[in-house]
Parts: sequence; structure tokens; C-alpha cells
Amino acid sequence: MSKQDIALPSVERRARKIDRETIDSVRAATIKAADARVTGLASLFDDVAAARTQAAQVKAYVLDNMAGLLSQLEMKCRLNGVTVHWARDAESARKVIQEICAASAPAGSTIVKAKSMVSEEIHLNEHLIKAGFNVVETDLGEFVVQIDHDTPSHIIAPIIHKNRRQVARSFEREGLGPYTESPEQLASQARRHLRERFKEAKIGISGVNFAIAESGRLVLVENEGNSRLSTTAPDTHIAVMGLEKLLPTEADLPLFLKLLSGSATGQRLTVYTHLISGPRRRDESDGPLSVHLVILDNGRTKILNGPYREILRCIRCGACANVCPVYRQSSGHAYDHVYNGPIGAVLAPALEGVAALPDLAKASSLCGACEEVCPVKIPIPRMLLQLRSEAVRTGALQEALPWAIFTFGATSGFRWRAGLKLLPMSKMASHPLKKGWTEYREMPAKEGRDFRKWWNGRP
Amino acid sequence: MEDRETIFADLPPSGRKARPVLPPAPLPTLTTEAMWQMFAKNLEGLGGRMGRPEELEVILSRPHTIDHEVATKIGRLPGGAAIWEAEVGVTTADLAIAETGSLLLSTGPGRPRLSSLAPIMHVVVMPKERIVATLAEAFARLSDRTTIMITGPSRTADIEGVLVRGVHGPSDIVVIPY
Repeated sequence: MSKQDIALPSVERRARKIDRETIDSVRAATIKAADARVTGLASLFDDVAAARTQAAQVKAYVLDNMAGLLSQLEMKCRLNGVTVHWARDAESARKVIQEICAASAPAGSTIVKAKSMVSEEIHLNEHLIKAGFNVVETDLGEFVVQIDHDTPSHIIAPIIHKNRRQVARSFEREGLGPYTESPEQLASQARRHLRERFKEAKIGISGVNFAIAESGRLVLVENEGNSRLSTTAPDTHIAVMGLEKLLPTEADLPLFLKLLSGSATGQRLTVYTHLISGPRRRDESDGPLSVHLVILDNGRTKILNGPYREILRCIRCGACANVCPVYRQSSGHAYDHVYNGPIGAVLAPALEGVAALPDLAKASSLCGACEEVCPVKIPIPRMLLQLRSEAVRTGALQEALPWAIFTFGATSGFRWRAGLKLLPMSKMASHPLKKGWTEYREMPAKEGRDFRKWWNGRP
Repeated sequence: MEDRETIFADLPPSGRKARPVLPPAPLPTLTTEAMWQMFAKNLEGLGGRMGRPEELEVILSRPHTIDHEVATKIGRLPGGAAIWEAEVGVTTADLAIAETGSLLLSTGPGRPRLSSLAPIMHVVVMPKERIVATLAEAFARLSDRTTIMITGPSRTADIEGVLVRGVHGPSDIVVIPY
């Protein structure tokens, strides 16, 4: 690493290391998803803007009434036969979950996992594997991430950064079947392999998309069926949720289910919407015998009491990442956090403190595309600006030298005009600070005439 | 319980504002026939299809499971093959939802959850009158038991965004109203 690299914010440093193949995969997939979103939402709502406003209002109400709604949820879950656990931080959540696992199945047992961002947030897998359990991710994308010892790079599309050849090589290496580049064949190899895991699993772990305070219903959405299998086949189901994942009533679900699937993939609804009202009843022949709900804080009450509280409206659709020019050019891995894209650039430092992640808020051009597509209208650009100013104010981040020079030059008309004469734009292209960035990217060439010359010389 | 107390101590006191009232979705007045037509169009768009009762003979020649209600209706024994060996799961449904092509299945006696999930083919045999136009109507009469809403065959687009059907759940859904 050169001296110059150290001087640069780490987001930018990581982004530079992303290769062309990855950028191509991410660009193609995000453009497709962003287009699908527009078509999907238009087919679902007469007035998409009104739907987003309503959803934002419902979520704002939830944030204003967290204590009451959480108590209500807890009570209703108990009545449904669901055991409720509280965890103030990641460590506490891991401990609680490990205890439930240890009480439910002998060490070495298979645990099947449905895709869950909050389980990534608390680094649950590593912990349970260390405790001696055989933890298997069952969502196709998350399964690939696990066998490759990789990390997911998108909230809903974990292997958006990989192409079919990379998946094919991994499956061949793991002995899942003969080498094939057909997505159908690869999916069927995964189906065969994971079906055995579902049959032998004693415990299933999932996240929660919406928890309904009024009824205690836990709502999980997915397309593959792995989440349903994980939460139906094993005798024990452990659901983990961030405490903001509440909705007041079941009548709120149609709006939110449509907004979530439409914003995420352009589907009118996800294939499976699992509405869980507790464990198997006496007159039922299958389903888990016990259901546990772990409600996690891990920094959320702190966010709720601070300037970034609206970030807790997020329903994890990933639409902001799909439209973000920075995400498209750098992939989720550049953010180096479970939560990436524009939402991650706010949520990650809000959860962990600006001092821990001072530069993430700089990974944005502030173009506002994220706020425009957000189904719950989170003012992401405003929060990014606020985080930047907090980072500089608290000394967590120093204003980068080029910007300090720019500020000096741009705040006086004389200095600005002099600077423009001294520093022809063409030279910027070969600026040493941009070298790493332009290795895989084109620096736009100067176009057209000089604005000032045109302005002063106009008839 | 220590964590619970810490969390509640940190939560701000609840606001007093009433919750926002969502404007009720306009209810379309459609005939049952029109609702089934809309349902069929949406289901087919998702990769499922409508079937006829005569097809059941062929379908049931494969290893299958069958819900109590359907078995009684067509004069067969309920149950069938072991769930992981079945190639077809024949179930009933509480409701069909026209606007999305979805099916609502609650759990209960004689209605195993895995029948609509583990076999590669899912066949729904249900009375014609169990259909509503909108999601909102369906959710207004949700069973208090665990319920699954199914909207098309199992699918994934994790590999290069290419749509693949039947990744963990059924690749085929056939709906036979009677």
C-alpha cells in the first residue's frame, strides 16, 4: 500500500480494488432491478407516491410509539405460544441464541438458516459454528457466499457481484455435481444438496420482515422456499428481529408487502409470504414444536433518540443500492459492512458510531436517487450530509486535502478565476490521486467550450 | 430479563398521536367468474396454470400427499406418500386472490404445511366460491393460525438475475377450482 493510499478514505481505497468483472455484474444487475421496480410499482399502485407517503406515515407512527407497540407484540407473541427474548447488543443476542440451540439439540446438529441481515449484523454463524453446530445457509445466494467464505454484497441479492462461471466453479469444487454454467442446473444441484440438510436439521433460524403488534404475527417473505423449509421442517424455529421491524396491524400488510416486493425486485408480491402465529398446534401434523423470537436492540434505541431516527423506517428492499451511482460503480463490498449502499452508509455509522466508520457517508454523490425510490421516504441524502459534518466536527474525519484546496479556491471569486487559468481541466485526468480509480474506469474528457468565455462573450 | 429493562428504559416515551388512517382501497365489484379470469391471468404470468378436475387421475398416479378436505371431496384416502418422497402435494386453499394470483393456505388438521412446499408439484383443489378480488379483502379475513400466501412457483434470480423456477419449493402450481 502506497503512502498515497493511506491518505485516502478507506471506502475509496476499497472501491479501487473492485475489478472490471465485478463492476460489470453489479451494473447489469442493478440496472435491471431498478427498471423492474418502476414497472412493478406502476402495476401495483394507481399512485405510487401516495403509497410511499402512507407507508412513511405508518413507520413514523411506529417509531413514535415503539415502547407501547413492543409491549403489545411481546404480549401477543406469548399468547400465541412464542417465547420472547430481548437482547440489548450483539453479544447478548448470540448468547441467548446459543442457549436456545444448546437446549434444543445436541452439539454437532445441523442448523438451517434462512437469509437474515440481522443475523449477519450480529455475526451469528461464526459464533454457532464455534459452539459446534453445523450451520448451513439455505438461500441460494447466501449458500454460495458461505461456501466461498465471502460476504453478501447487496441487501437482497447477496451474490450480485458474482457471475455464473464463478458459481459454477464453486459448486464443482464443493462436489455438488458436474461443472455447469446453466443457472437451472446450478439451482437444482443446490436443491438436491440442501434438501438433505432440511431433512436432518433440528433448528431453523430466520429473520423477520414484519412483526405485527396487534396479533403477534411474524411475517417472513421470500421467493425460493428455503425460508419456509427452515421455519417449518425443524422442531425449533428461532426468529431474530431488529426492534424496529414492527407494524401496528395486519391491515397494514397489503401496502407494505406490495411496496417491499415491488421496490426490491419489481415482483407484485414475493412468492411466499409466511404469516407465523406460533408453534404447531395439537391438531396439526407438522411445523416447529417451539418458536422463539429474539428482539435485538444493538444500537437501535440510540438511533431512535438521535438525529438519524428515520433510518429505522427502512424495510430492507435494496432499491436505494440499485439506483445509486456509487454503489453501481463500486459494489457493496466497497462499504465493507453488512449494511451497504446508501442505506448502509447511514445505518452502519448510526449503529456503530461515526468514530468507528467516519468515511462511509462520503460514499455518495448526494444525487438524491436513493430518496426518490425509497418506499418509506427516508431522507438519506440529508442524513449523509449530517454524518459528514458530524465526522468532521468530532474530528473523526479530516477534510481531504484536495477539498480543502477546492474550498479555499472556490470561496473567493478572484481565487476561483485565477485557479481556473492556472489549472486547466485536462490536467485533472492524469491527477495522481485519480490513478487507482481510473485503472478500471474512464475519466470523462472535457467537453464543449469554457462557460465564462461564452458568458462574457455572448451577444 | 435484564436486557428487556435496559431496552425499555432507553426507548422514548410513546407519542400521543393517533395512528394514520390508511384510506380504504376501493373494492372492485367483480363477478366470481371475472375474479377467476383475473386470477388465472396473474397465475399464468407467474408460471403457474389452471387445471381441470379430470387431470387429477393422472396427477394422483404419481407419489403424492393429499389434504383431508380434498381427499373427502374426490373420494380418496387422505395422507399418501411420506412427505419427502412425494412428487405431488395436493392441497386445498382458504382463498384465491384475483389481483395478485395468490393462494392463501392456513394450517390445521389434515392440512400439513409441507404438502404445498416439499414436493416439486403443487396442486390446489378448491371450491370456486373461495375467491376475493384484492389482497386487502383477503387479509381482512385471515385465519388466526399460521398461514402461507403463495404467489406462483418457487423461484430465484440469484445467479446473474436469471429466473429459475423450483429452487426449493414446487416448480409447478396447478389450480383446479370446482
